[in-house]
Amino acid sequence: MSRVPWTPVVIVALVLLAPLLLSPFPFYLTLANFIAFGALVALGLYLLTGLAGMTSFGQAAFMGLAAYTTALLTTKAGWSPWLTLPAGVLVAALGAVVLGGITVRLKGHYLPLSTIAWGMALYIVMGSWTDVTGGFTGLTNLPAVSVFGLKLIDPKAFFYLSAFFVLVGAWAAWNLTGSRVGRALRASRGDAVAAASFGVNPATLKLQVFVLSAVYAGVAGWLYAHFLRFVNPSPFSLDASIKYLIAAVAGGVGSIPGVILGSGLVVTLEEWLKDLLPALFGRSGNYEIIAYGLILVLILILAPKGLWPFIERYLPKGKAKTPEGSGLPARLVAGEPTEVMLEVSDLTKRFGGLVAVNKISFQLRRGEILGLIGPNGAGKSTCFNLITSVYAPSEGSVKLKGQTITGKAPYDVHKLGLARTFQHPHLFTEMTVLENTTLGTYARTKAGIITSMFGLSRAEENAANLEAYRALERVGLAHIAQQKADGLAIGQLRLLEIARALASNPEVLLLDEPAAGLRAGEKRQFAALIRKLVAEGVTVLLVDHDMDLVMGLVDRVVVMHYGEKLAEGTPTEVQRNPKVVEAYLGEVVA
Amino acid sequence: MDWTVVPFLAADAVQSGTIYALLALSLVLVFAVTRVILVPLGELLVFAPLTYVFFLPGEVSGLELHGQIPGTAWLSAGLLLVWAVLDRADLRRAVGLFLAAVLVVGLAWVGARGVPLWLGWILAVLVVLPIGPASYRLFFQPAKNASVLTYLIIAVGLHFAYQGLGLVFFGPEQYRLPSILSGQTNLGTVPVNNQAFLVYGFAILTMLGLFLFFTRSLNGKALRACAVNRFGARLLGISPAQAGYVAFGIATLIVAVSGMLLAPLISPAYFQGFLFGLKGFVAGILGGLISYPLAVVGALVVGAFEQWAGYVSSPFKDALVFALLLPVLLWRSLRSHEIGEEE
Amino acid sequence: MNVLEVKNLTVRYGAVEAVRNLSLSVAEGEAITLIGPNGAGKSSTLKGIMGLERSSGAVSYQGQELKKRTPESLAAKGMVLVPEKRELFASMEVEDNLMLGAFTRFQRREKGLRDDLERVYALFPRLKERRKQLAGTMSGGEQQMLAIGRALMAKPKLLLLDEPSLGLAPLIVGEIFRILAELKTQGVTILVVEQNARMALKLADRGYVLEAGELVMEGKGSELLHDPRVIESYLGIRAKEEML
Repeated sequence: MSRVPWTPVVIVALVLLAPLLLSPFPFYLTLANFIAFGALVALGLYLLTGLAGMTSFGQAAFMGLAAYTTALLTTKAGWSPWLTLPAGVLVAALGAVVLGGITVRLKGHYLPLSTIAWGMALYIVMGSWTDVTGGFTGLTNLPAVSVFGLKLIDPKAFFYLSAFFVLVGAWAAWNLTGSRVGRALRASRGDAVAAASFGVNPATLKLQVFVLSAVYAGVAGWLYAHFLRFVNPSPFSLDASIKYLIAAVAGGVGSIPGVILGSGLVVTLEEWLKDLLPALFGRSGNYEIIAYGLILVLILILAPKGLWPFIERYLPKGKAKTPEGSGLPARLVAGEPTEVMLEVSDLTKRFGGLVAVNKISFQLRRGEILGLIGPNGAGKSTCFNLITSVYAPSEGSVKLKGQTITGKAPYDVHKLGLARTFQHPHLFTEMTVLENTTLGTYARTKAGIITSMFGLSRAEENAANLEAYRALERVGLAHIAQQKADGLAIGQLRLLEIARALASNPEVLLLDEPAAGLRAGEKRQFAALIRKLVAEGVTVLLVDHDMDLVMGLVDRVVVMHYGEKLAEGTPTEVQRNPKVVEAYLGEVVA
Repeated sequence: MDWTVVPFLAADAVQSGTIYALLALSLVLVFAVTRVILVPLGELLVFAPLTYVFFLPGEVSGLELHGQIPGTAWLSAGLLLVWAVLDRADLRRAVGLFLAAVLVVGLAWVGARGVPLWLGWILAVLVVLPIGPASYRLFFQPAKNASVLTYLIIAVGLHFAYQGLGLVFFGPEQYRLPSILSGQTNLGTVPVNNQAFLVYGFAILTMLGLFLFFTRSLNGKALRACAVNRFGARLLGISPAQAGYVAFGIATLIVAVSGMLLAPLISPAYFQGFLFGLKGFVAGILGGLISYPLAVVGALVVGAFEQWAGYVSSPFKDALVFALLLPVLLWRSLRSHEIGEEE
Repeated sequence: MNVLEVKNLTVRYGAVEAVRNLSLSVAEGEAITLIGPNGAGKSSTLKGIMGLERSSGAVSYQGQELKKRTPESLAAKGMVLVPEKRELFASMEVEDNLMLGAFTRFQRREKGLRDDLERVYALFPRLKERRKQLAGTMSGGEQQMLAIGRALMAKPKLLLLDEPSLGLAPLIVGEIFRILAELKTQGVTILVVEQNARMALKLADRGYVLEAGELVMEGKGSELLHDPRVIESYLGIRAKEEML
């Protein structure tokens, strides 16, 4: 990059200056530290909620795990705080592995519910296990953190340490957002089925992110413990966890500056309310939770995206560049033109007593366009979902290039060279057209969560973007690559679905009703595109009921009716088949 | 283990298990119909008996309240008023809601001036009752079609707000309340408070009532229909919003009466509701949040486990109960195969 | 008087215009069908009418224009949809499903619900045999009968059916349409959306043909039944010639 990246420079400069400006007000310096701790926890929530669509009511408990770990190891075992940082974070992460491991596969509300119980349980343990934790009086005399022999005791010095971690955390979160993993996370939040069909294993990814959010909280807990040099249970209670969630939601859990802003607001508000409310009610107590509760409820109802979007409007937007360089290594496409790519034998699916698909068999050969047609309700979609392993068949098998794929997860099937489109476009409207397409390269790229966070996957990312850009060029959408996907016309959405599939360099392309909603002219262009792709070596299975498109495009047709194969042959043969005419127009029943 | 304590533990286990069962039933009812996981149920449980304190004669409560109207009445009336404003397009309903708000304050005023114990008891339940359905209208309805997760976060926010308000209204103290039935009855060697039998009686009545309502009454069936297939129900003119009010109303009624019956046994304070509620959740989750019988079984398991945990290690009792969730969720997780689709 | 009058209905899904400027009317006692190949916008038309999808244009019911339409408010007015996916209460008994069809009448304290139940049983003896069975355990045809029976329990002034033949075996389709014909003779006003053009046109007094979101033909059922253009539009014969 030749341009000076101004935004980070300005941010770092502000952070360096802030303590100097605040130094006449020691109270605000302390507050600034608390805001930083909150920001770290909230950044974890950004990853968890904003990116991955999960929620936790137990982040303060993770802070507590790290804080108590460091407190015990430094005061009782005499470890250096720099050694207890990884130790504390590790303990927090282990807690998340256990909790997340058993809930990520369940429906979305089990994780947060179990974090409530977990937060309560841990709080009770911290308060009651007096021998180890000191109970509610806590543990005192934690050593100060020293950097190059300099002890960070006063809030100003400590703020530089806190801010360092916040900046690194924000930078890593930012890297992750734009990376392969971030894309996959955003995709599986929006649509787990679509993400899985491009090689994403949502459960694994969710677990990783949950652990990562606990790591952020753990670092915050470590900082907290060594800032106050004292730990007791109350900052790690369920109330505190909710406070962090409110911070993230209020600022805008979908953006990095949003959650940091939210932490600033909530920590400041807390100080203010702590003075105001007891005066108002005439006695002391934990009254600020009323305000927290109401803020949380009202924000979710009135401005679910938080405050940041209102500010973001006035900020200049960065310009995205068109990717350059070389793409990803392509899959070796080789084989005889008559090779059987996909073999479906005796495929049967029963739902309860209903037989949706009954003993369907057919073969798809290399370089062919096969149409699977039939009137509505004939079982085409079920058949499609069986081939892509979204459903498991009751009987029968599907082989891809001789390898049985029945029983494999959709993300594993995809890796073998099968890509699909969706009948109702499953695209991610908050992402750009290019990002949507780049998701297709997921199975061809490798960068993991850590490489992505530290920006070590740039080269691969560029290659993936270029590959996606080329796929967009192939379908004729390159001119809108940087546009958000939500304003597109139906024809463009259909093409984008195909581009995303192409970006995965598939050998077999499965199209689920790709022409629905297209006008006659668009259908013609669409057919031409499919023919071009086939000429380039892709094999296509087209599932549709649209006779207009199918009859003019495919080499062979399999007609389904009542879950069974009614006919198979060339389009002309099938159109002349009286049984097919009956199926489409309806039988005359005496 | 000293086996002589087992009957005593069992008696306590049944008592708390029954309360968790009532909470779990209400939770499952609300979740099935509206997909709201109603975290603040515990607050509604303690609101009723704490309101009752204000309706007790000074010589019973031992407090000098000087005819003060309890804060819950203001909350209840306030929510009803906002509801009336929100539904102003439907004038008849808005007027009805406005009158209900006035009535709530009126009843509380009458109660606070001194009424017979039994009447105060009923007034306390009536004053608290509107809070449930009104909360649904004010806080959950506007987020229509939100995910279960969003509803859950809203519910947690509401729990906080109500818990804080509980502190404002009633202070941090625990209150002693008069029993309806005093004394104890010995079952074998175990003395059981007579008041506890009222709790059991109410629980049995509730289960029977819900069972009959869901299997005999078309209104009850409509509620079930809403839970089974929302869209199908709408096509038949069953409004999900109305079903939501009914579900919230029944749930609030169950927990408010439970709280009233339980109060003499526990001396309630504002903060106690949450722990009860949370254990009701553990019970409900044992039943997957959908099965009523399993929720009741789960509640009894939680009650028994809690007594055992209390016996083994009293300070960690609650921590162990919450830890019970982990093996349960693990079991559920191992049985689930699908890709984590919402809903 | 027309029970239903639809003027210039346009239904959009995001960027897709599924139905464009569609107008149709249903007079009292009439059986009307809306046919067309798959994806032509038939179901979208129904969804637009029922207020299930955002739409523009005017929908009048019994002479009154309905601006805000929700399925529950229309059901209370006697306009009942038998949806494509049946939307039964799968874990409830057949008889409960039927009785819930009369829910709004029950709320208005109407009498004679039991008699109506017997009438529905007379129409669908199979449902009576299975009255205690859970709806979700029945075959597709029985489920369709239950869906229709449930709607009849509401004593609809206008019965809308979305693809009642969907996924059913020919014999069952025949039975369903025989029952619809019987309802017609009983004076029930029917609007049926069908892909099975032959069955639907035999039933209907008048038919509308929808292609790619627009009405392309309308006429008497018996006339459309023999119009070769209907077959062409279904089998894409013209389209193939255009494409090659």
